[in-house]
Amino acid sequence: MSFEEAKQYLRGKDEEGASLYEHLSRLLLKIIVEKPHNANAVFEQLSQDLREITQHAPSLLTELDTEPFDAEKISQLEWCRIACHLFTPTENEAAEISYPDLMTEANVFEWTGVNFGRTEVYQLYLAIKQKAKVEASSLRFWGKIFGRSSDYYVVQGVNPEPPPAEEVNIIEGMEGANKYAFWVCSKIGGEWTKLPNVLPDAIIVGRNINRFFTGDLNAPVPSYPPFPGGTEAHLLRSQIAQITAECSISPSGFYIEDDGVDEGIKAIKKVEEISEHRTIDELKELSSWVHHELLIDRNGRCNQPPMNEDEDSRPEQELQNQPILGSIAEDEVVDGPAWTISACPGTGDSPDSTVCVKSLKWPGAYAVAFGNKFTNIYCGFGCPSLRGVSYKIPATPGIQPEWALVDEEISALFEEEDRTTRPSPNENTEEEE
Amino acid sequence: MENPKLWGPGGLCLNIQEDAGLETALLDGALKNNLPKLEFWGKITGTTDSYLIAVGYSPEYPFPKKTFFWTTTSEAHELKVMKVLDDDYAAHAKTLMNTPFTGDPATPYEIVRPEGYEPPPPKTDENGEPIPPEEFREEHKLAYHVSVIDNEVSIIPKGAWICDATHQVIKNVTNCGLTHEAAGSLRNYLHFRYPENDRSKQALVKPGVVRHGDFLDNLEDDAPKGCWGVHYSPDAKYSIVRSFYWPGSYFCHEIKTGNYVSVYFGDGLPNEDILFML
Repeated sequence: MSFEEAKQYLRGKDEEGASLYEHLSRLLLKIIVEKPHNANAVFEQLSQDLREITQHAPSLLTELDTEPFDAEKISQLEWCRIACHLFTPTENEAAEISYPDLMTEANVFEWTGVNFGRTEVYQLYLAIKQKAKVEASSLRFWGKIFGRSSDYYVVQGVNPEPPPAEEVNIIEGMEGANKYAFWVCSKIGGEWTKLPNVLPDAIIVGRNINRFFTGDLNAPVPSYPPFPGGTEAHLLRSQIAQITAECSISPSGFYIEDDGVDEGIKAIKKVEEISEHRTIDELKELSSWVHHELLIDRNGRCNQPPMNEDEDSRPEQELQNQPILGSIAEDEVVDGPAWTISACPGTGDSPDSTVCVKSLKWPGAYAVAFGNKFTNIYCGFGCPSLRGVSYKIPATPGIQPEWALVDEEISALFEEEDRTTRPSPNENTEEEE
Repeated sequence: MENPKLWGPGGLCLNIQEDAGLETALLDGALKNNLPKLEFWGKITGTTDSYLIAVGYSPEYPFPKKTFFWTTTSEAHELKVMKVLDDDYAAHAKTLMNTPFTGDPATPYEIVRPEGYEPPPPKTDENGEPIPPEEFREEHKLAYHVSVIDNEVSIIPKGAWICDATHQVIKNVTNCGLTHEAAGSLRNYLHFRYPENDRSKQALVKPGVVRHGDFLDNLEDDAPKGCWGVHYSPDAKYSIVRSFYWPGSYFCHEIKTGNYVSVYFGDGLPNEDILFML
């Protein structure tokens, strides 16, 4: 320790703001000024006396203290308040609502390398359970999205306020991407915010832009092409819609096509009871996994909108028929299949092993099959991986062609001669009067 | 995963298979390579398998030497020493920076030579026999990525490593961590590498006492602005630092303690689109 460092150490201040250095220098000054004859013998006493003068008795903070809290205390007190709130039971005991058994699922997620922390998972479980009771509907934990200054926890449930069927040309309702509603919060126990419904246009634009989330739902989304809605809440909803559509996968047999809907509309429903049990070897094949949500097409929709009155006005709406419950083996990214499968534990897999499927297109999206169950989870930045290919800003659309005449119109059209009309002199004179 | 609390906010972990395998491998690797300790560095995911990477520090002037080790998830119990690349291979690896990893260390990557390229005379062993040059494999690519990533995202809180009176950079055993206020500023997080900034380089060699924050580059100076993000956990007990140029780099510090973790869990590719994404 150098001299400077030693001095620095002695100068270190304690809670009261006093330092040993200060005390020693005062003490020596006192001795030199007062010159006691037995300075050596009474050194301790002198020191003690001096302390009594210079130091106040420690005072306990009382309720009356108006000392301003610092930022740390304020945020921690706030955290304690909302965390305590989680542990108080909610009254509304609605029948037949389900919430995830997160603690069991967390152990399964761990095989994929996703872990939210032991106590956090329990708090999350309480928070989702509470929300499910308030909403009186079943919820599932969708995942976590990282932002630049805070993260989003996302839960998924059936949309309580789907867009009405009359507006289907603008926005899809229950038959499309707004079948589910999503609630997000940035801290477990905090207020859940419902994300707005997603427009097909938002999904189309969302695919063309690539942005990190800030962590603030009201943050603007400056982008080209301009993002419909313009705030991060809309962008978040559009990315979640894409991930949900593309990464909700399960071993085949859990879901079947739903026939009980209107003609021309595709829908999928869950099988009440699954009969066949898949072996580990079967699960390790990509072909035995299927998409159990409707895929979103090029136009940002799951189903084709009903025919318009003036049919030729929107020809771009016509497109290929998308497979329903399609196998994931056909999905591709630029450098190969879009999914990889592994059985965990890898060494010595047994009938009880879990099978993890990982998306290469959406890093952070996983599906796990264990026993006779499966679960999906997302934990990532909410951006697709471009697999090493650079992002390109979408090109500006071509300049619209000048209005051109069609042959038959030319004969019907001719340039009119300029006509000049002079105001009658009488009128002017009247006004002047 | 010595302190699981530090990993929670990152949403990531090693699974039991990897964790258990590494527990053995880290100890074994340290003993066999005569290093005081090996630490888990991160995981680079490939298409079929993932690489687990560990690092060991040995005292060296002017900066501790880092030795890297690697293995794959399927063989997590045995670490291998990372290749050290020569200039030729490093230059080739640089051209493959944006190619995703396959997960198989033996995957060959062909080196396309310009026309008229004359290979240097092969090295000879002690008997004068020429040693054929080693094929460029994913193992080499891994070594390059790890050294680049480590250079940019291996970070420590200010005060965790100090430059002592003999000018050795050593771990500070009495480190008490950052205060709440200090933990919110990127200025107090330092790159744990031999400094690149002239000011830090001079601080490291100048005689006398070297202050904790002076001899390493801090994150505040990195470009572009916004490539790092720092925030507190909801309970304000931890601070979390993430890189957006290397998505997957994760740092968490327990405020007012010496506990921190700095790991990389990603695909090993730089995010060159960052300017569009902020």
